[in-house]
This record gives sequence, C-alpha cells and structure tokens, in this order.
Amino acid sequence: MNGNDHTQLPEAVLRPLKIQVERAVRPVVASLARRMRMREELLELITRIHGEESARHPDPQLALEATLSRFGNPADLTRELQSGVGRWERMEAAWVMWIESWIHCRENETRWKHSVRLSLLAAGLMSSLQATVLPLVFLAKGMQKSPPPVSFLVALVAFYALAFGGLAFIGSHATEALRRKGTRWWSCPQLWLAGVLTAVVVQISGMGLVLSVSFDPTDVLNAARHWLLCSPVVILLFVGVQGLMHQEYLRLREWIELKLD
Amino acid sequence: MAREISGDALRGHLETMLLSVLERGPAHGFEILKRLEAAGCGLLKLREGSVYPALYRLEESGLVSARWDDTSAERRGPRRRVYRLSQKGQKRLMEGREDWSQFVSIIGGIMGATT
Repeated sequence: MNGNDHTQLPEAVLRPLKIQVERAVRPVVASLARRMRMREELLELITRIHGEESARHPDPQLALEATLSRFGNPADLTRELQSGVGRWERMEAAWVMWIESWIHCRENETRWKHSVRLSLLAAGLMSSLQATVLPLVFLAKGMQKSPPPVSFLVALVAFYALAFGGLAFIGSHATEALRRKGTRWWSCPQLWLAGVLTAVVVQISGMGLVLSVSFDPTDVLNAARHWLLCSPVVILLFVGVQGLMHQEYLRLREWIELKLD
Repeated sequence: MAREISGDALRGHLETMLLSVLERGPAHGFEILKRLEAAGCGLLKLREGSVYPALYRLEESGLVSARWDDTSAERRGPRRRVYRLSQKGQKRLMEGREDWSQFVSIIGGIMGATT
C-alpha cells in the first residue's frame, strides 16, 4: 500500500486520522479557506506518517497509536495553528462562526425543529428591522402629520415577520432537499419552487412597503409592475446563492460531519 | 550515547531550522520533515504536526512562499503545497545563523563547553 494515498486507505483506518486532524483544525478561528487548507495539508502529513508506521508495525492498532503520537496533541496543534492567523482574519472568522452557530443544525436537533428555529429567528430579526425602519421611512417622507394607523403598521410588521419566517422555513427545507440530491443541485425541483416562493414574498413585501408610504393605487400598481420585472432576478439569485452554499457544503461535508467524541 | 533533542530544547529554533532546510530547495511539508530528520541524524524528535503551524507563521511573515503542487492533481490523495524560501526569508536565515553562533559562543563559554 502506498502510505501517502489516503483514498486507498480503508475508511476504518482513514477515519481516526481525519478525526485527529479535525480535532486540531475545527476549533481554530480562521477563514474557511485557511481551515480547509490546514485540513488538506495535515491529512496529507498524517496519512504519510501512518504509511511509515504501518510498515514498521504489523499490528494496525500499534501503527495508529504511533501515528497519533508522532502527529502530536491536537489541542497543542490548535494553539499553534491559531497563532499563525492574523487579528483581522480572526475577528472576521469569529463573527462568521458565531452566525453559523445560530444557523446550522445543532446536534440532536431534528429537521423540523431546525426549520422552526430558523423561521423564528428570521421572523424576529425581520420584525425588529421593520419596527425600526418603517418609522424612519415615514419621517423621511414627511408623513408625520398624517401617519398611517398604528394597526396598519403592526399588521405590516407582522406580515414581514411571517413572510420572512416562512421563507427561512422554505429555504431550510430546500437546503435539505439539495443535500439529498447531491451534486446535481440545479435539477432539484424544491430549490426552484423555493425560488419562486421567495420571489412572491419579495413582490408582496415590496408592495407592502410602497403601500406603507402611499395609498395611491397608481403608485402601488407601478410598484407591482417593477417588482414583477425583478422576480426572475430574485429567483435566479436565490437558486444561485443556494447552489453556491451547497457546493461549499459538498466540499466540507467529509469534515463537518465527523463526530469528534 | 547522544540524547534525543525534543520539546522545549527546540522551542524558538524550529522556524530557523525550517528556513535552513528550505534553503536546499522548495519542498512540501513531509519532505521538509524528512530533511530535518536526516539533518538531525535521527536525534531530532519533533511533534510532526507542529511543522505546519510554523510554516504558516513563516508564510504569514513573508519568509517563505507557498503554492499548491501542480502534480497533486495527477496523483490521488490530498493536495499538497510546496514551500519556497523568499528573499526576506534568506535574509532572516542569515541573521538566525549569526544569532545562533553568538548564542553558542557566549553560553558555551559560560558553561565551559568547546565552541
């Protein structure tokens, strides 16, 4: 066996090696690209060490123990790897990792629970945003003399919360469908359906925003026409972003799905 | 019998040693380790994973440059990067050697060792 060719190693051998690499790399606060590079290089190293140790020890367990010992303690490696990451990259990565910890499915969380949690999160964020932005829009438009009724504003904020909460729910299910689909993500019907629904929500939300500052039917109809023209772009944008995220997931899957216990 | 050199004894010298082995030509991580091992006559005991963090620090400081190995695509297995000593790294290596000579000369004199 060629010791440096990890694709030829049986999964039972490769898995503990990858787990050891992941133990060192996962806690490092750094950009995704940098962590991926660390994984690739350290996997290359540990499989080569394993190749040497397998030639030395006929017992696979002894070979593995010797490999892990030569590779070093993952916690020490994490500290050393972290020391090579610049301050700005660390800050940016910490922010991204914090957001991801909210968005990603947690351990033992079912698909439905995850979708509901995401929906509530999106609804909460959107209603807070709208509750802040709408009064500013009215002020900017000089409508403080005849502001729309409070019940209308509350209904609008509630609508946005519901619409974006629903979008998050649809989005998370589309993501799940994509993961089942594998590499041919563009042929996933759920993805396109979610794109169309997103465009509908964006259309209604846009009209709602116009309605909140002008009750003139002509304005509303004009806005509806403009938003309708934007719909194909919204659909393509949604599908494209989901596709990119899926590609990234496929690249990372072999690592992020490793259980480190 | 000569004792192994490991852990604390190597602290602070690893990066200069890496620059030194890269002076012989570009290499990827495992090859760098093999060069160190050969140069240390088997007495140098490194935690081998720690070579990469050191290489990343050197790259971050511009002392080495790295690029993915084009031949990696032709073989199976993980990609690897080839590290190369930069001009700045060459200069740092010279300084490191001078520092080391001074260190050995002074400490060796105090300890009464032959320098």
